[in-house]
Amino acid sequence: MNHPYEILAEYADGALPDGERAVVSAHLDGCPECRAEMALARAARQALSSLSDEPVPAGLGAAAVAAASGEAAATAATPRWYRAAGFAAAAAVVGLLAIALPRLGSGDAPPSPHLEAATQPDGAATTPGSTDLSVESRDTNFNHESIAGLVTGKLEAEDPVGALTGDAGDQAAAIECLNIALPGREGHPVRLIRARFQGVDAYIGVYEVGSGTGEPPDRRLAVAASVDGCRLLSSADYTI
Amino acid sequence: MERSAASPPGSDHELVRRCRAGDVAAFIILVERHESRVYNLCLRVVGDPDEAHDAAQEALIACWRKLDQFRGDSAFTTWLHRVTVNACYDQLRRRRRQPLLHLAAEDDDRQPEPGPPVPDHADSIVTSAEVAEALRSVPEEFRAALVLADVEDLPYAEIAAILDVAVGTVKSRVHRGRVALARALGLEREPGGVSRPSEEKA
Repeated sequence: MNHPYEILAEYADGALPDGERAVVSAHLDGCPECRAEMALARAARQALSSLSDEPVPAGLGAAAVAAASGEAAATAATPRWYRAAGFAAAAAVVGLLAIALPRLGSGDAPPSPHLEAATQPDGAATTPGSTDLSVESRDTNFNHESIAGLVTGKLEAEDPVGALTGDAGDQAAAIECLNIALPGREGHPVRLIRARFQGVDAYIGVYEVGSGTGEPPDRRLAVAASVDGCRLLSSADYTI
Repeated sequence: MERSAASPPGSDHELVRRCRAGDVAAFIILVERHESRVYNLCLRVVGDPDEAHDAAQEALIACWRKLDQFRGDSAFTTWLHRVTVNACYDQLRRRRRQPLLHLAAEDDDRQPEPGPPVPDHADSIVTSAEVAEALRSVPEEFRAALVLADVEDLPYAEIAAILDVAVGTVKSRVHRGRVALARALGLEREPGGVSRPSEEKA
C-alpha cells in the first residue's frame, strides 16, 4: 500500500484542504498502520508544543562579536573603533560584550524625519557640562537595539522610552560618567537619561554632532554607561 | 519581501547591510535579536546543552563570516536558520567522530539509534524534560525538520528553504519524526496490534 506520508503531516496539523483531507481519511479507514501513526503524530505534535525556550547562556555571542571586531578592525578602511576595556568581564556581567561601536564620520543610513521633531533643537555648540539638561529617570531596561533606536528614531515610532519616573538630577555626574565611558566622543548632549541597560543601572546620553562650522548637526550618537564604574555598555551612531 | 535598498532602519536587512560594511555595532544588534532563536534551535537539534552552546557560537561566527553570501532575497531569519542547522550538523558530525570518548566518559544515552529507555506512559502526562530527552532519539535526518516545524512553528515552505530540500520531503520527515518521537515517549497505545513496523517506508 502507498502510504501518503507527505500529507499525513498536514493532516495531523489539521491544515489539509477538504479534498485531500477526504483522501487521507479514506486511506486511514483502511490502513491501521497509518491510523496508529496518526495518533502518534498528533500526540508528538502536542508534546513538542510544550517545549519552551531555554534562557541563552551568558556570553553566548561574545566569541562571534570578538571575531567580528577583530576582522572588522583588520579589514575596514575608514572607521575608528573604540573598544571598551574589560571585554571579558563585561561579557560575563552583561551577557553580551560591551564594546563600543561608533563609526565616527561614517554611516549612511537614510534620514529619519521624526528625529528632528523629537528632540529639542539646540544648534549652538555647547560644551559638555554646561547645558541645562535635566537627567530623565526612566523605568526602562534598554538593550543595544533600543539604544540604537534612540538615535534612529525607531523608538519614537514604537514606544516612547518607558515611563518618566522623575528627574534623576545630577547632570554633571551623568555627563562625566559618559565621558569616562567613551572618551574623545564628539558632540553635545541633547538628552540625558538614567535607566537600566540589560538590567544594569546606567546613564544614557544622546548627543548631536555637527561639522563644527555652524552647520546644523548631521549625526546623532547615543552612549550607555554603567553608573557603577562608568563602563561603556553600548553606543550607537546615526547619520541624520 | 523587503529589499535591502529600501529596508527601514533597524530592520534585519538594514543591519546586514551595515555589517557588510564592517559595522560591528549592527552585528551586536543582530546577535542580540536572534541569539535566543539560534541557541534554542541548537539545543533541540543537538540535544546536549554544552554542545548546543558550541554549535550556537559557531553559527553566530559563521553568520558574520558568511554574510556576504546572504543575497537578501529571503528573510534573514531563514538564512540564519540554515547557517544554524549546518552548525548543528557539524557538531553532530564531530560527536560521531569521537564516539569512544563519549561512551567511555559519559552516560550512554548518547548512543545513536536503538533503544533509549522508553518511559512508561499509559495515559500520558509527558514532561518537557522527557520530550527534550526523547527528541535526542529521533533520527537526525528527521530531527531538524521536526524541531523547525513543531517547536519553531515555521511553515513547511520555509523549512524547505532552510534545509534546501523539497517541501514534500520536509512534510515526510516531519511526520516520521513525530512518529519516532511519540514512540520514544512510549505513547504507542495499541497493544501488540500495530507494533512498530519493522522498517520505515519511504
